[in-house]
Amino acid sequence: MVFMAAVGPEDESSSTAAMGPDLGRLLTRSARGDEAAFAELYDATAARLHGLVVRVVRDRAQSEEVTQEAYLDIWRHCTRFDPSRGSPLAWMLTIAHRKAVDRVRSAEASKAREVTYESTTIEREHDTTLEKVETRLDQQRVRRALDSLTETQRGAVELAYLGGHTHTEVAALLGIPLGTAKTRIRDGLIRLRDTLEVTA
Amino acid sequence: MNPDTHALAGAYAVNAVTDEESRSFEAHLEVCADCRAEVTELRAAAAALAADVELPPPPALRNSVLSAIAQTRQLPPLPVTEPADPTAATAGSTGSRATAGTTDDLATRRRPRLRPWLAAAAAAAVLAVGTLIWSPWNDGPAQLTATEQVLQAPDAQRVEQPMNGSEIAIVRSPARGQAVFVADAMPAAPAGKAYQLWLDLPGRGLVSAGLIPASGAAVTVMLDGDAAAATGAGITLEPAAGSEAPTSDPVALFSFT
Ligand SMILES: [Zn+2]
Repeated sequence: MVFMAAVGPEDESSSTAAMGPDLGRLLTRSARGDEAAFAELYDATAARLHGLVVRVVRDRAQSEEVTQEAYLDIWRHCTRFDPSRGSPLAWMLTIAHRKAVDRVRSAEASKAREVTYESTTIEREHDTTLEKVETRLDQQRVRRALDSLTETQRGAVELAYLGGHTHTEVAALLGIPLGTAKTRIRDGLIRLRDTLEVTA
Repeated sequence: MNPDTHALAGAYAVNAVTDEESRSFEAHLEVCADCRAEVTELRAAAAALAADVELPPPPALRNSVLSAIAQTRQLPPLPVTEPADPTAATAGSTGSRATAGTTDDLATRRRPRLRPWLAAAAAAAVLAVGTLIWSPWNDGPAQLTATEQVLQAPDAQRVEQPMNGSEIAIVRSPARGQAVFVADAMPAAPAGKAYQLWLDLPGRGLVSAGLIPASGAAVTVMLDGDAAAATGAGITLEPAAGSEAPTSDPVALFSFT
């Protein structure tokens, strides 16, 4: 549904997405103080933002705080949203991701996270969420795009974006030189962009 | 351009950088249109990954968010800025050369190098006008540093050009009367020397706007002096303590008009 906002409209497989609400219009109305529009915006995007936050932060209670902080920031800043600088959804996810990363990088939180990092598998998260969401097409597209990455690119991108790690940490986790992690993250994201034909 | 600097665009787009790297890359973004476009695109590409990890928040969070926003004031919008009009910029710089020519005669007695500078200054004209906000999660002007306030000023003008493999720019806010020098990888000056900034002020000629801190890295520095009145700026290599007036040919020139 809302994935449409970040993906070229020419793609048939995501045509169901076109039926979702127009996030740009909801943001514009929200910017004028329209709380009902913001509620619609929340309904259309909450699973996407919260899922990302949980994936980075892990701890559910903290994740809820971070998701709430992200929406508050989106509310305060939507007066300054600039459509030429990206889609509404990409903009909202950028804010949520940054909030999540800020949270895990505070020394306290990262300590707690270390313990659960390896033991929580990505697959299990997929299984529980997949049953409930209506966005299989989006997910299939993303997985196909991820499959186009080399294994090393994919590892670096996932550790950086979904793991919330710095490129320095990614290098340490993968046992590769510093510059290499930086390059893999960038090359992986470029491949992802080209495969998804993301329109910024 | 240092290719290593561009390479950070991916990590920056997904917040996989330290605060220090982030600040230095944002200085690079001020002067690199390629990276500005790439960061926007890669943020969108990364956002797609969130489709794969969807998870609805508990229903109670909705009420909590909506009651919080009901009590939260939104930031004022940024004033709309006109995109740079290259035709107007060209016409403007022609006019300014004519105007500067008259002050040139007065200043030439003290500063003989002013005339050739001004003739060449048209090369680096105003390229872009606008506000760049890379961190929407940061709050408004209250938290911005003095240089950030200039860089994000609604009337900010950006004059950019390459210099010895670095991208450098002067961003000027006439309304604030201030200008900031930005470089993504400022070449280090030779031993015993420093790069000095100059503002070209009508009737006064070239007046020192301060030294650029010694560096092989990203630099963001406020220019001294009245940037609103200035018609241009330049950089020369001077003795480490700086000079009263330029003693060497300029290494970079910027026209504001
Ligand atoms: Zn660049």
